Parts: sequence; C-alpha cells; structure tokens
Amino acid sequence: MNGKGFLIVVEGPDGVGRTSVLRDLRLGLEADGLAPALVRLRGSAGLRAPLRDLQRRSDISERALFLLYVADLAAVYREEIAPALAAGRVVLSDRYTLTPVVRAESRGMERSWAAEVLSFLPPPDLTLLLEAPARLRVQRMLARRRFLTPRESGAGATYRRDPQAMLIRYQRQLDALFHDRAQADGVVALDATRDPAALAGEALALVRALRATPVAVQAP
Amino acid sequence: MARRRGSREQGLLIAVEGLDGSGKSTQVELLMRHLRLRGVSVHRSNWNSSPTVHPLTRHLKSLRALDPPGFALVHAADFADRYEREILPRLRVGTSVLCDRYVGTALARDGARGLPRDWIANLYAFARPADLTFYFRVPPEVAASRILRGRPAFSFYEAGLDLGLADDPYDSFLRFQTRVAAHYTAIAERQGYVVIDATLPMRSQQRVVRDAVRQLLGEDPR
Repeated sequence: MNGKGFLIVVEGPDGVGRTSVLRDLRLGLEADGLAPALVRLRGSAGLRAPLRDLQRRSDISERALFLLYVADLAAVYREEIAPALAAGRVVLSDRYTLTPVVRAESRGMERSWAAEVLSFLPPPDLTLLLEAPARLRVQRMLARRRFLTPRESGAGATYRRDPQAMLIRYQRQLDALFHDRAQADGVVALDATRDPAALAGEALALVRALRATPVAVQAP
Repeated sequence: MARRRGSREQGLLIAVEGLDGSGKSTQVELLMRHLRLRGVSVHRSNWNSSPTVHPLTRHLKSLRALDPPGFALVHAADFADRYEREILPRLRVGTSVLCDRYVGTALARDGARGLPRDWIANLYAFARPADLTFYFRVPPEVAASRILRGRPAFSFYEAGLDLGLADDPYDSFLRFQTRVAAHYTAIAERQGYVVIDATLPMRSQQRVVRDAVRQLLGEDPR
C-alpha cells in the first residue's frame, strides 16, 4: 500500500497497447464508483522541456541521461503520484520504474545498478507488464506516425558496457583505413608522433621538392 | 601505484575534496602547473561543469525544485557525463586527470542531506576510485568567511536552506556545512584520503600535496 491509495502501473514497450488498457481500466474503476487518477509520465514541471531537448542531442552520456530520467520520475512522483495516493485514490500510471531500467540496460548499464538507483521510489502495489512481438509493435507505431525517432530506432543502444573501448577501437580503425590509402600514388605518409617542428620541416621539404619538379604538378 | 600505471598505460586520477572556501581549487591549480612544468600530460575536471547537464542543474536550482534525491541525481548525471566523456577517455590514453571534487563530494553532501550511504555509493559505483584524494579540512566558520569575502551571500543549496535547519542563511550554512564536514571526516578515514589542514599557509599545503603526488609517481622524495 502506498499511503491510503493504490499505485497500479502499466508497463511495456511502445506499440504494446498501454494507452487502451489504461483507458479501459479507468472506465472499469469509474463504473465501480471510484475516481482513479491517470498519470502519464510526460515529465515534471522543471525537467519536461529540457529533457525533450536533451533526447535529441548526442553530446550527453547515456548514463547521465538515465540519471536525469530518474530525477524526472522522482519529481513526477512527488508532484502527481504522491498527492493522489495520499488522497486515497487509485493511481493508474503509464509506466514507472521498469521502463527506465530496461532502457538503461539496452544502453549498456547494469540492470542491478539501475534498479538500485531507482530503489528510493516506493514500489507499486501492482505492475501489469504488457507483451507483444516487436514486429507487431513496430507495425502499430508506424501506423500512427510517419517517422520513428532516432532513439526509438535504437540510437544510443550501440553503447556497450565500455564506450571508451569503442572510442579506441574506432580510432584504430580510422588509422588502418587511412594507412591503406598511404600506398596510393601522390600520397606520402608522415610520422606525426615527432615534434611539430620536425614534422613541419619534412612536410615543407616535400612541398619544395615538388615545386622543383614541375612535371609532377602538371600530371593530370 | 606507479607500476600499475605503467602496466595499464593509464593516466593518474587525483581528486581534491573539502568545503567550499577550503582553498582546494587553488591547490589543484598549483599542482596542475607543477605537473605540466614537469612534462606530465594533465587535465582538470571541475564538479558540476558538464556543458550539457550543468545548465539544467542551474535551472532547477534557481527554481529551488530539487529535493535531496533530485539534488543527488542531477549531480550524479553531471558527473556521469563528465566521467564517460571527459575523464575516462583521457585516463585511457595516459593523460592524468585532476578532479576538483569527486565521489567524496556526493557522499558528503548527499549524506548530509540524509540519503543512505549505500544508495549514494551505488549511484557512483561506475566510477573508478581516485588513485589519490586530498581532503582540505577547514572549520565551517573559516569557510564561511572566505566565501563571503568573494561574494555577498551564500547560495540556497550551499547553505542547506532546502533542509529547513535554520531560517537565517548564515546559521543554516554553519549547521549544514558542519554536517558535511563530519561526513567528510568519516569518509576520509574510511577511504584513506590525505588530510590537509587548510588553515595552514598555501605553500605548506602545496608541499604536502606535491610530496604525496611524487610518491604516487614512484619518485624519491626531494
């Protein structure tokens, strides 16, 4: 029990039909003579707009984004859920703690870590997890909207447990791809680990040598 | 420690902790110059300075919209962003990083706001412990007078006014920072921080700092 009321959560990924289930739950409880409060996690007063902006950006770590989601959820709990529970109402919440944990896990964070971060929020009295195959869900999502957002399409999920290892691997791959071109005509590879003056000196010498042999410059 | 650094080709992670007004930022600056002059590749990262997260934190602070968990979470978000995008990539390629405040700050401040120690520790469990942490210990009264020499008033959260400890900002600051200092003392003991008396002259403090760093680098004391 949360205060005097009950917290009922409907969870599940997009396109699974949470909205219709919540609507029918609300109508059913109203028919029972109750006045359920429907809470959609649209965000707290302070964080709603900034978070929407951050989701579209890529210059933030996935872990930081997760922690901000949790801060937002905590504020929604304080602003919307807790008062309704204190008034003795049944609260129907469109998602709660399960979604942020799953999103965090999909982006390389450990489930146990994410769950512990969320552990300060009171547990719901009941969580209904809706499940449907991804193909069907995506079909439904695309029936409603022309485009999916990059995050819905998995942006950020390429981050593994170790984004820095990826950074190095990627940069090494670039080294190799560039080095392959070093064999091509007209490309001279220079060792750039030397001090900048020596490097510039060699570069200059090469340019001067080129100017001394105009034939090479005129070649098509 | 130096051997470990050599085998992993990692940069050193050095942190300074202490109350605002303890003079730790000055000491970091001096240490950074010292290391650079000796040819050590070194970078500084300040608490609460992620270009992406900090504007948000500032906004929420101005609304006074942060309860203790909210305060803890946005600061952890700022730290996570800097850790993964600013600190770790540098350590990986052998650049040393000096952190002006690190995990100890969260443990002390969020602990002083009454959050459970285990929960705070988990929040930062992804970060590797610093190789060396200095705690600049200063009485809250001294910290207060140093802060008020630089600006006219304490900020809302710095004075712990969100906790309702006292109506008067100065009283609230002293009560809150006394709690923070108590948490710092316990953490310093538990985690083996190098404790420095921050009321000593700047140069004497810096000497202790450099000696400890020299030891970490595996060099003989002067």
